[in-house]
Amino acid sequence: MIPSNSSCSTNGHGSESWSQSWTHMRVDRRSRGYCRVTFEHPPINTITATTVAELAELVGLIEEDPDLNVVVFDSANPDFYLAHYDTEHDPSRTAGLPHGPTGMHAWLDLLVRLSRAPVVSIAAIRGCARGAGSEFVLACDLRFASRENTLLAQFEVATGLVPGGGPMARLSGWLVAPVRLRSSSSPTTSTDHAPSGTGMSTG
Amino acid sequence: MITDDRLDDEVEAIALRLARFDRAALARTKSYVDQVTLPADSEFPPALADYFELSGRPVQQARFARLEALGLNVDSDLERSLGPRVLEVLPDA
Repeated sequence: MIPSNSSCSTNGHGSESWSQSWTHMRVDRRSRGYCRVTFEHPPINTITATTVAELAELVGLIEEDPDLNVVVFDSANPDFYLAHYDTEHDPSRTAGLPHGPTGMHAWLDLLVRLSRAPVVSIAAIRGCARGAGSEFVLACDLRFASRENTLLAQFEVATGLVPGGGPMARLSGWLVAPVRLRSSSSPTTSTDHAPSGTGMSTG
Repeated sequence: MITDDRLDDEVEAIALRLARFDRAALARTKSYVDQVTLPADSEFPPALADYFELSGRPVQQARFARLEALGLNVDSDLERSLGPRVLEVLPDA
């Protein structure tokens, strides 16, 4: 999946692997140093096994590109940045996704590799990012969010699950102080979502 | 947080600025920031194992079937109000 040769194509905007057919996102290599990824998986930008496989491939391109400095992730749907995970009635497909180079499950692997990549990742957020969508946002280096239209939530606990993509580890480091200031509830167990203007302002 | 009407311009400005930086300086500096800010990789797999284990319970599959019947995974009031409405699939206390 990761190209062995990431030399630039003749347009100077990275290898031709960038311009392949993506099904859950648009990938726009705007210049040698700058790539824009726009999530586009109607109707609400759920994350499925297909999304994970495409993101894993994309992270491989991001890691290997010799010219890229910054990648921005935004959404074609202003109401749903990345809704949450959808197993599409086949949980075994998600559980069976191949482990990545870190040895971890594909979802954890791509989040860890994105966060450690030698490229600045920016989430430009409008709309809801719950569950795995929130986990993706938390794995980016920087988050810029619409003050009027952003909602992050780890709703798994309320449904009987443990959030699987590491938000407990990622959130606790930098959300504790503002949560303590404005609310006594934990970000993963609160019945309300993280309100715009509190925790998000720290990211 | 940025007002919605300024979000696109602000993000574009910082992206274009970072795109011009010397890559070696940017990448090496980021690696040092990552060392002191990111959780250890070992933090992640146990929670995902819990997620898969709890997902496999019949009670969990029944909850998600009810959520789907209420509008999960499609553009619906449930999706737009998932925080409050998720309680609809839980038993009374």
